Amino acid sequence: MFTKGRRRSDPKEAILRGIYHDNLRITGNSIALGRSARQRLGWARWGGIGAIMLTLILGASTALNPAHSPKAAMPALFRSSAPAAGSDLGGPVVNPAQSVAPAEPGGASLLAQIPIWDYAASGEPHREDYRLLFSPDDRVRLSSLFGLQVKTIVIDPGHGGHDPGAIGTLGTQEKEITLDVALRLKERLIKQGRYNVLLTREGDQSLALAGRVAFARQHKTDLFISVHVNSLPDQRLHVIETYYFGPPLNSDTLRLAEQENKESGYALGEIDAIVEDIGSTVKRQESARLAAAIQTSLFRNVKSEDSKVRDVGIKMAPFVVLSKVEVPSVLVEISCLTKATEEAKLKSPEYREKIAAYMEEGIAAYLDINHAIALHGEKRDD
Amino acid sequence: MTEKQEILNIGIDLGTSRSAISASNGRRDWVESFVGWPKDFVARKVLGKAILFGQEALENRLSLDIYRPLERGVIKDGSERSAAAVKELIRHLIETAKGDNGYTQTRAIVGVPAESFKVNKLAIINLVSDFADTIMVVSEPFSVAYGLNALTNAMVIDIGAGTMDFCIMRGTMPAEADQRTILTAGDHIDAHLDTLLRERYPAADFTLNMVRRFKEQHSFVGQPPAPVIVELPVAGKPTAHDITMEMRRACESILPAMVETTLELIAGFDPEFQKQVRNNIILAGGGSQIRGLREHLEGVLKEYGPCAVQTTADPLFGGADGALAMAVDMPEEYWEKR
Repeated sequence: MFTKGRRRSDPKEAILRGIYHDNLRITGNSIALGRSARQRLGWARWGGIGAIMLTLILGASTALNPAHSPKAAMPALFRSSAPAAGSDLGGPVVNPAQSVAPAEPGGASLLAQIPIWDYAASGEPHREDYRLLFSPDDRVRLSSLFGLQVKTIVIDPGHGGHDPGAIGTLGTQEKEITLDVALRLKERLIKQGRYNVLLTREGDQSLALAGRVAFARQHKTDLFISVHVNSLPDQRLHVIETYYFGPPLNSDTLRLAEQENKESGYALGEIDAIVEDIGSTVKRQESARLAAAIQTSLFRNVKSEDSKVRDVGIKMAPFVVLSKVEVPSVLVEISCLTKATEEAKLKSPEYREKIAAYMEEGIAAYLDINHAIALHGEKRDD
Repeated sequence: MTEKQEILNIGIDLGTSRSAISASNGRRDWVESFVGWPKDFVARKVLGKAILFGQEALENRLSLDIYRPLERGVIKDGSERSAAAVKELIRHLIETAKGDNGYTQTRAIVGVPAESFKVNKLAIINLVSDFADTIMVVSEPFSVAYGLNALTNAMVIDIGAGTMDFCIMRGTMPAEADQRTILTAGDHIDAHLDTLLRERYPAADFTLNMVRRFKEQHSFVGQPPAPVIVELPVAGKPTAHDITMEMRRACESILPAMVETTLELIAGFDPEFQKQVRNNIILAGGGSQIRGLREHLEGVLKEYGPCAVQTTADPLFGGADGALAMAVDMPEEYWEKR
């Protein structure tokens, strides 16, 4: 019979402590001291962002009629605790004249007053163009312009249960990778201490696209990020691409959308209607920005490890899961399971952690954390 | 009841093929990882049990809805019945270990494949949580290494049915880079042998379960210790068949990935200590019993310098014993009340 303490020695104590910490990570808990410290830092940073928002609000309060808050016109886009406001900070994307124009009576056409990315003039953001949509130096973002915040983020691990998604030659299933990366991303975002982060599925379960949409709506999410792994006919290719909802740009995109829309839970007629109802311009603009931010970070970092990875950029595609969620939403193809070397890397927990970190970096950049902290003079701790 | 009896520490090796438990009260048990429920009322009455496990379930499989609920060392995908079967298996093992004694607290450490996804680990924790007060999971080869006290400059290769798990020990908690899981293990041999036998003896009638038993009795790599002759029914008549070459080919099919992964992990070790690791390689798990496997690996590694490969004395309980040793050694403050 074993007795406690009989086998104890110092090297073993370090190992046992490691097991304990490892299990804390698995169950989603964190070490008390570390958590407290992170919370303190997190609140300090949040306070900085709040101060910036307050400045924007006060500075613009005379320029926008508060009776016609844009927030009221797009209640599902963001949930906000701050009053609506506008700003005249200028920048590469927003037309300052538009941004400070008084709202029309009745507020029905307020969305038309919102400064938008001029797709007609610039062409759809695609391939190399997409980086223009996202720059850490951007001075004006719609979210900050209207004093809006992101509180809830829903991450959607693609496939699951009886739907394995793509399967690599080594037997790796897309559903396993998407769930693992999503869990890691969730953990990382939660550590920032600012967001309520939810997953559409926490285990290996079947979930129709309609169910994923319903989940996002039920939890009133502010951002929706669907995680997938690509499967390409050419097994030599490794590409990274990010989608947001819109009409397809080419037949390949349409084919991928058809593949990802399988078992959506929506009737064909409904999908036609969905495509027609592309959603608000604001949603599309913010979705494109989010897509660009994630794509930029993911590609740049993966490129440092695999020089052959190709940047396919951001694209519009009629993914059902993106269309019915009424907030900025993207579908990220984080890697390619059909390339054997990439599949082997995806089997490594370290690599999946890196992918999650790259996504986190992109999301954080979209949320202007870097910019806000730079303005406030606070140094990032993580 | 004494203080020691109030807390029961247990180590569990939840295997695709066999599951084992070791407890701090000295009890040890194992069961083949099969769970069966009687198909109907008649079967229930004949069998006299609501649920059967292991060999007993296999012997009565025609009357049962039978499940082998673990695959590649984790719960089979998306099946509620598989999860229910794993839960019953865990309940059976823990109740066996507890016996009739009451314990105020049960602490369990469960071995899982080295590269299990976090969600798989969580699923195991959730299932065990119904029968234990506090649970931790560890990688299977790591628990074997801990049990053998092979914590420094050593490598454990745990060859199970669903996975072959590698863990290199540096005297600290192994990092993710120190562990590998590959899927060419016992089940891979079974499937390969099944295919080869069907190709060579198309008239013979046999099941995968029979093939698995042949492997367990006759597996080998390299030179055959003796011809492998088995009885297979042909048109209902038991007939002797020579399966020596098929057995060899099937067993040797796991070697390339095994050797490659071993070399890769050693190459990633501190160059000054690679020699020591090569001289401290331990084969564990049921697959370590394949005749000639140890010698083969030693032969390959000798091209890189002196080496020594050994097999564990108790492959069936190596993982469970190691997990138990961890549970016993775990400081009190690390066990959190559920």
